[in-house]
Amino acid sequence: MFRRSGSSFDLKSVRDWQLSDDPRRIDWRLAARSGRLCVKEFYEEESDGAAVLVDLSSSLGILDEPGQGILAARQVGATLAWMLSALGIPSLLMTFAERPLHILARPRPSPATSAFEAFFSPPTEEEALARGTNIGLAIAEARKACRWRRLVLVSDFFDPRFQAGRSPFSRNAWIRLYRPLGEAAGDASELLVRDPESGAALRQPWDGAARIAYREREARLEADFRDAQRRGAYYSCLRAREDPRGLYWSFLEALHA
Amino acid sequence: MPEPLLLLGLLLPVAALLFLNLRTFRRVDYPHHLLQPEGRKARTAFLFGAFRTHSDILFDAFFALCLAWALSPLPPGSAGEAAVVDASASMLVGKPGKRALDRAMERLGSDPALKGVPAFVLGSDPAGGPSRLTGIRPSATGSDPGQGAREIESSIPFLGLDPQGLSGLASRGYGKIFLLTDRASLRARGLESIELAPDEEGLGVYFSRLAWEGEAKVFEVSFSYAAEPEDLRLSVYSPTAGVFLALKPEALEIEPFRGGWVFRFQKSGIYRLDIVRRPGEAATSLAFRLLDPGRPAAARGDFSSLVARAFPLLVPASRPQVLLADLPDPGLPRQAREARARGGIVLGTWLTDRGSDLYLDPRLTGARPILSGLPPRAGTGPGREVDLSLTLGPEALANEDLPLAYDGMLQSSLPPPFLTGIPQGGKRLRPIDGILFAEDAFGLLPVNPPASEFFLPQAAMDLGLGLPERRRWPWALLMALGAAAKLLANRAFKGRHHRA
Repeated sequence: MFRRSGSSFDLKSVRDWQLSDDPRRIDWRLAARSGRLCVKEFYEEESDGAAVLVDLSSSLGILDEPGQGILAARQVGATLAWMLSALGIPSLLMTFAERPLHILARPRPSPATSAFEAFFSPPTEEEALARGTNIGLAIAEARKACRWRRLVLVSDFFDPRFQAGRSPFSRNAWIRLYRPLGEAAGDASELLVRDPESGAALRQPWDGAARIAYREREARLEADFRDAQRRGAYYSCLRAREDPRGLYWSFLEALHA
Repeated sequence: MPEPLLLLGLLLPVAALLFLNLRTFRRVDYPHHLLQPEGRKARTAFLFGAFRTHSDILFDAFFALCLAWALSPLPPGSAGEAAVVDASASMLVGKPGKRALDRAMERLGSDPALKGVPAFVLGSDPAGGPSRLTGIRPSATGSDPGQGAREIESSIPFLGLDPQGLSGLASRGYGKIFLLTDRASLRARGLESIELAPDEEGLGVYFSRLAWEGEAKVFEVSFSYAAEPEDLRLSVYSPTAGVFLALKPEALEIEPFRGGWVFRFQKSGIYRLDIVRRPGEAATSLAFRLLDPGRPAAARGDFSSLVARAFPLLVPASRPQVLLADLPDPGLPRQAREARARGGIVLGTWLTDRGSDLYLDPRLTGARPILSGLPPRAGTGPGREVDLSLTLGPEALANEDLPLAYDGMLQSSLPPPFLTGIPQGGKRLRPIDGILFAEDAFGLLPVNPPASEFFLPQAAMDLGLGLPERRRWPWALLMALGAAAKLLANRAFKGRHHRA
């Protein structure tokens, strides 16, 4: 996913053209030969940074005890940002919910952790009061704040408007924090489900049909990420209370692949 | 435990499961993003919410209820009642008008418990096979029960009682059966025997042995009795007159012994023994057929010819009833067919050089061990045209008891002196002078009630009639409808999402 930049004439990859790509980058000679619209990507001479977005919406609270879920998200995001920084990759660390909450502006690449330590403390009052999720707005704000091509998004992705394939960043890393409903439901046959973001309550039969419906929707969401993964994105799912070290290793491997 | 309580007990686990399921409700925090299928709420809004939630368990409870009802025994009184008159020979013992059959018909008309209850007669089927139930018209038990008894007596052969015939009532949905019988000899769930002659001791006379005594050249027929009867009469059937004629004293010899008699007859024929148990009672008859001991026989092959000569009762004849043959014999099938058409039997012998350590069937050898070769099964293989066959190796031929094997085969092929039941698929029985006759290749063959009709039962026999059977198709249909409803409900609850 991420490569250290080299000469601007070094071909990095050839990939299918996407709507978000500049039409001027289309390789028309290749298009004439292959019948497909493709763009060539080159390594940039100067260092490319990454925008690290951390979702702190209320739905993260389902991951753990109250407050702990959001803290886990912040810690994962901050750890990834620190790893990038330690590797000399400049980053922008931003938390968001319905709107951007906090931006750690352009920490200098350094192995020091001091700039990220605040993210390992419990959420602020503003963060604790955060409600909904608007991933699209956060990505757009990040795009405005930096012109880097890399995006690392840590979220539960419970945002029906979100589409992994529509990111304006050309290199995306999707880190999903997830806890299946079955874990919370246990052996109950009926659930009164309160949405942490909207506060709405829904009486949900938790029978075989409901479980199948849930799994199908879950699989559809997962398929979106797998599709993005096939197009070059990085995707990893971290289950609630799962040791994140595996995620970090996997992220590092992808970084140097 | 009373059956209704037992039935409720069956439902207790279902109720417990339903209750537990109702209690498994939980509040959770979770985004609705993956939960609310499009239109699901709208589609099921008309249904009671709890039903939607618990439809699975409710349907399962419904099925369990259906199964519990379908499998449970019927509560007392919920099944139909039927009265059955025993039409066995023992029902005819006694003075006219006082016989158990007369009392049964009278009871059917007078007993309030039996009023309006469908009545049947369980008796032998004149066409043969197992006993059958015949309905009794209500008028037959009305003002003149004696007339009803006579009608039954004239239409049904009174022989033995086949209790399995009662199981037909259970399958018709009758759960309570009143059996009107002379002496209760059966015990079964749902069966109530009404004893009509509990003090009767039975006729107590029956055959104990029928044999041809070759040395004395007489037939010996032994009878045993439990109590000496008042009178005995012997007669012989006259084919020309078509009736039984009293036997001349010089035609037989009677030797009494303790508990019975031995009758010695010099001539073959069909004989009848009339037994009058007590003064004024009708005679009960037993008939038997004595055939000439000599049997027309023929032999094919050297060894079989030797065997035929060893048995003096096998009389050489051109139309044999006993055909002995050495196997294999290519010309045997045609003669075998002719012999069988005359009611005969074909006995085959395989001679082999091979030794063997097999023994002949002890039923054929009088339990004496006789070595034999490998015995092919009659009716199979190359010797299939024979009825019985022996394969004899060197050891068998060296055994001096070998003739016993042939004697056993010949004895087992003797035609019976009488029948105790109606052969299935045979001709209808012919009543001649008070005796029922079947027919076989040797002529008329008397049919007598079995010995069990003449002696008191030692103990009541437990009978497996089977529990009253409920009609199961309505339950099956109900469960099928329930299953269809469950499928429809599941489909509706899944919503459009699952049809994608």
